[in-house]
Amino acid sequence: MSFMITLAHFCEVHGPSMVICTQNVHSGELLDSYYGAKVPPSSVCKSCEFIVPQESTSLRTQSGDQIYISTQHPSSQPRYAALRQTIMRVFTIESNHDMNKPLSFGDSKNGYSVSLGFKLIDDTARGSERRYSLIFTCDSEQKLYENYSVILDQLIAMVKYITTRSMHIIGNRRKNENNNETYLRRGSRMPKIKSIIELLQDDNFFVKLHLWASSLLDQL
Amino acid sequence: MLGHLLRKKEFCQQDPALDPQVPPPAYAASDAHYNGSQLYGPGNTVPVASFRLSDKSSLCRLVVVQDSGIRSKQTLFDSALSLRPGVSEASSPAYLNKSFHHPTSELSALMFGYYGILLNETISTTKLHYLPPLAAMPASMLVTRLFSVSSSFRLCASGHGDPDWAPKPCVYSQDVPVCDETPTRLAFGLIVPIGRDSNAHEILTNHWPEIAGHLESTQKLIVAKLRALASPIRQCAGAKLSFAPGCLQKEPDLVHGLHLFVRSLVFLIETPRLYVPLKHNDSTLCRWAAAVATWLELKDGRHPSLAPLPAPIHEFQSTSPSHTGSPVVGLKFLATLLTLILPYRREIVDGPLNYHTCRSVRVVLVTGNPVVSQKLVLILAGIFGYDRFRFSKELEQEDDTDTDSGPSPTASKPIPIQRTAYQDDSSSESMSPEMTFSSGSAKGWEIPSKATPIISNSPKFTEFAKPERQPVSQLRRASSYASLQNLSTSYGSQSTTMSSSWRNRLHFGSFMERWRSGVGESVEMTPSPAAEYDDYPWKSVSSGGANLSKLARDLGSLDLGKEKAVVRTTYEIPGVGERVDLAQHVMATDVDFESADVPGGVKVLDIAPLAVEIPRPQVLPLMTGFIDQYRPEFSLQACPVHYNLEGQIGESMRDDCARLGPGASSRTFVINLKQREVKLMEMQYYAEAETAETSSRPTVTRLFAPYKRDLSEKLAHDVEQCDAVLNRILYLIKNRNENDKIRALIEQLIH
Repeated sequence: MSFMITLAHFCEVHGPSMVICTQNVHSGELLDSYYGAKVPPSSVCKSCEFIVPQESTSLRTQSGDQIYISTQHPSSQPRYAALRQTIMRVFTIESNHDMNKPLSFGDSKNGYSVSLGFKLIDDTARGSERRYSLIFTCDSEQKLYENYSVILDQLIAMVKYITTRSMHIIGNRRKNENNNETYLRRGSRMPKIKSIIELLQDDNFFVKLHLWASSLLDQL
Repeated sequence: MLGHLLRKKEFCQQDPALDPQVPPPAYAASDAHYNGSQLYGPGNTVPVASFRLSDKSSLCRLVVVQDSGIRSKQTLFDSALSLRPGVSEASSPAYLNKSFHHPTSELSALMFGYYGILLNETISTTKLHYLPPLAAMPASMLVTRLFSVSSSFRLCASGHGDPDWAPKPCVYSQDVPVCDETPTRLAFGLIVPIGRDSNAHEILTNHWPEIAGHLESTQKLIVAKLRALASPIRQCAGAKLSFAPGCLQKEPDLVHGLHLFVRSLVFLIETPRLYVPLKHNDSTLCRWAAAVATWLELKDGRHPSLAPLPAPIHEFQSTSPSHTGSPVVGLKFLATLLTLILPYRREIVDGPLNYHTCRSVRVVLVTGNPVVSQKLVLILAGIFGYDRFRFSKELEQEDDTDTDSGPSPTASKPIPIQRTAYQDDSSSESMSPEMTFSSGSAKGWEIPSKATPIISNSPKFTEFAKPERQPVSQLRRASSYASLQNLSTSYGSQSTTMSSSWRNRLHFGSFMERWRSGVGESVEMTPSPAAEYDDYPWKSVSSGGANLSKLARDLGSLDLGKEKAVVRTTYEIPGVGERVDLAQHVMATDVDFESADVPGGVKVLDIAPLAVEIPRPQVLPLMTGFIDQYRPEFSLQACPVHYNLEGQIGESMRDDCARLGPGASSRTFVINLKQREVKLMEMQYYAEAETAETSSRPTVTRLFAPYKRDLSEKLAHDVEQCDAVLNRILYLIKNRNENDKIRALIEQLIH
């Protein structure tokens, strides 16, 4: 059974792209094929870059006989292709009347996914918001729906944490910024590329997201 | 009091001849603790669904839409469209009531996607959306199946490229349209109303394999219909197919398909499933063991007073079956049954269809007497789910005064309309002594029939319920039951004296009383075969021994009634413990990481795992007690005799094989309690669907009959071993503190 938990982002430069992807590896499998390589700087920008301490390319957690590895992209070609299709679908094809509601879809080629989208407000972004989506993908339809409630519950909780923290940070900044000089000035609103790490002011955010994804996968 | 007298008078006037045979309602009081509590978890009465889809089934809807380009979607079929009353179709087109149903354009936007990006895909895609609330439907979900047909309707195998990523659908689906033609994209959507709580989606996601099966069969049906439509107007090969809007609107099969889907979902949601946590709950174990003892004693004709102290099992094994010289008289029905079925117990607990092993197994108890079948259901469910049912003290409700766990306002509906209809049907026959007896004896055993979802509440389904009703001869029994259940509620206690004299005179009811309490004095009079035709008509071996009455006292003194009810719904037991918010948990901790040495220059950070346990609900296996018709959704069930039961089972087995795909096999154990026989129906997957429709029939083997002697040696040996274990359980039940030993014996049986 293979699972992938992905944080996907609609990048202003690169379009739909994956930022971090956690996969499960059975202990018997060869780990080396799962580690990520250094992504060339031309194909990522700051807002879709996988930024972890010590310039690592992979995060690893072992729990029992399962190992969880997070990289920016899955290194396996078919998985990468399937995940790209899935992310394309989430950001450009599928529609959902309410962004906060989860969306599930799947086929026998790209796997079966549940996604939960969210937006972070950012004055420096185009349209003043940045779109993200947490996507849970599985290669077994039955397994996905068997665990649907648990997965969805944790996805909702994570999205809630991220959006609350972001709102909190924005609220704090606005309180401190009672400066009429910058009010309605263009300068501060120039489009700027920003990572979610900056938006959440947490340098270890991806490490924690990896830990969250591993803990969730460990329960399935 | 006046009303009481009036009612009595009314009754006497109605049916004076029935007077001496008024069924005894005296069981009611002693039944309180017994009311199904064994089958549905400790302390529980029959659970009621918190969300009743059957009440909202008219909101379920099927829409078939064709994609003919960006912003051009055509509805081929919509079950929600209705004609204005009294207006002909030509003058006014069908309309959609928008307070009950979503506009089709809104649905097709979700089904195909908003942005008009046409994916030239041929593969079938399944989607699940939440729909915006409507006045009449606050919450609902849309299940979409997007698929393609090509003008030739030819299919080719969908090749799975890489072993590294080969997603596996729930239900085997063989092919996709050939890719060298321009396919037409079609989609159908099923709209299902759901509850408003946060886990309301569970009614769909928990039953996904069944839903996926329906999606597959609906897709096949639509393709077949479109093929029939397309053939006369066949354009040149390779051209894109296009169908006229509304071309499927008059297809009754699509409506029927929707009804089958909804019915199936209603049964899955509303039928209470069994919960018999033998391994972790002592009182359940006591009840289970008592049921085994009662079964051995009353049905298999075993008599503990005659049995010697059971020898240790290895001694039993060493003696040859013919040579045991065993004083054990009677049949080894239960032992044989367990020997035959236990090898399949994992598959049975996993549900009727096991997608890993490609096998499907069902156990169907056929009986006219739910009371008897309930004991066997308890025995089987307990042992099947021995490893599976989990139990924790924390599951018990704080407030044990309210054992009815259903918070639903619809909880108190003892007499569904359907059953009233039965009663009416049979009123002319309700004077036959046979019927009165059986119903009288069954009184108080309301559980099995209560377990039936009340389908007839929805007017939409009544006409579909009809063909599945039992034929007249069966109807009589069902009706006698139902009518007496009605009587039991309306009579109260006014006829106690009458009934007790009736019972004393005829010695009726004593057998059933023993069944009900699980114990009792020995039977001195064999019940009339006409009255107890599901029962074993031998005489008891002796007229009561000291051992037996002692057993009776012991069991009677088991304090089983005063336990707390377990929190549960019809299909799941909630997780134990507080909800864990992993996100909060992880984000609040300081993560420690260290860089790992990995060859090849890859920079890897090792992160210590987090020790958290997320409490998860326990979805109960698809096993249920007595339901009023055979339902293929359940792997263990008891259902009434039906003239075409084998036909129905055969059909569901064909479906199983189609869903499981190549290499599939389907087995159904049919246990007929009336004829005391066990039959095995088997079927294999056939590659050609068309020939399978016509030629494949299940092979039926009779595995056990009362006087069948040609058991294979191996089987006979296994039966002897199983029987020895059962005998020890029968012996151990007398002692209250032997639970661990009984559990050890059960584990021995299982392995």
